[in-house]
Amino acid sequence: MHVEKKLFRNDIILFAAVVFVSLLVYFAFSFNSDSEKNIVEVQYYGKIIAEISLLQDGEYRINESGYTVEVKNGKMTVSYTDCKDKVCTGMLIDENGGEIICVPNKIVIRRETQSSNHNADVSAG
Amino acid sequence: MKTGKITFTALLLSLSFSLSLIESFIPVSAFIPVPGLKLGFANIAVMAALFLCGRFSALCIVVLRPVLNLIMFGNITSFILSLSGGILSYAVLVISVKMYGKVFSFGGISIICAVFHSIGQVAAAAFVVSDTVVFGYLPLLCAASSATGLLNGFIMNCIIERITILGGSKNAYHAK
Repeated sequence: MHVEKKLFRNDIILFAAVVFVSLLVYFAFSFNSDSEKNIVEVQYYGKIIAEISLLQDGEYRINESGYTVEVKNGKMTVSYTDCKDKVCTGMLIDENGGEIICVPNKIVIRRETQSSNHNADVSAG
Repeated sequence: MKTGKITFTALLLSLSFSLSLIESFIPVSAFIPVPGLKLGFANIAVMAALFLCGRFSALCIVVLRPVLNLIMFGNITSFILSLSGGILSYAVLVISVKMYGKVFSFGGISIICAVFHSIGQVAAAAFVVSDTVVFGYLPLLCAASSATGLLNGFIMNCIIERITILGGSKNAYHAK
């Protein structure tokens, strides 16, 4: 591969800069988690439909297509999804944080935030 | 458009479609655990189209590849995501390709496109799930996709070099 040295150097500099800035932003935002520890909320089409405690083991079915999450030993993982790309099966929520997002199913599961309203009294189970 | 140009665009479109099929067999998320990360080989064909056939051909590939994917597999979510990412990165590509040979090789241009592709996709994902929490993945996705972008850019450099050696002018179809 023949690329002018100056251009090659610029490419690498740009690459290093993008990675550096991205990781900086990532770590800057990952430290300010002031949310409650053990309750997660389930959003479906942007609305909170359930709250689940991470202290209780169990399986929770979220929508009619059978999307199911499992809570075990304080960890929440996805146990069934009907979507094709299975991106969300690699996501988990535990005491260190994290969230589960399934774009095809329009599901977002994350820590309860202080800004969210607490009117949701529906509980899955 | 001349017939030769239309044919060549169609060839590149089918190439980008096959590349996106092939890359779906490579389990890249097993090595780099970033959700939604893909190698993006299909974008090599877009860059090649822009370089060899011009803007309109590249736009055709950007728009028609997701459409083909939708017809073949019926996955509406991946259609929305790849279309929004593709159009945003196409717009940036058209602007940033002016820096080719002056500031960056295709490596740098491809990184810029990859970053904007990620931004477009994450924005579309946030729109689909109606929650901004998806943006939390943007930094990781940008970092990882700039690596794949660099890889694609270097592949593109090799392609352009081969085409030049084979006697194709830099703008094969522009010249005519």
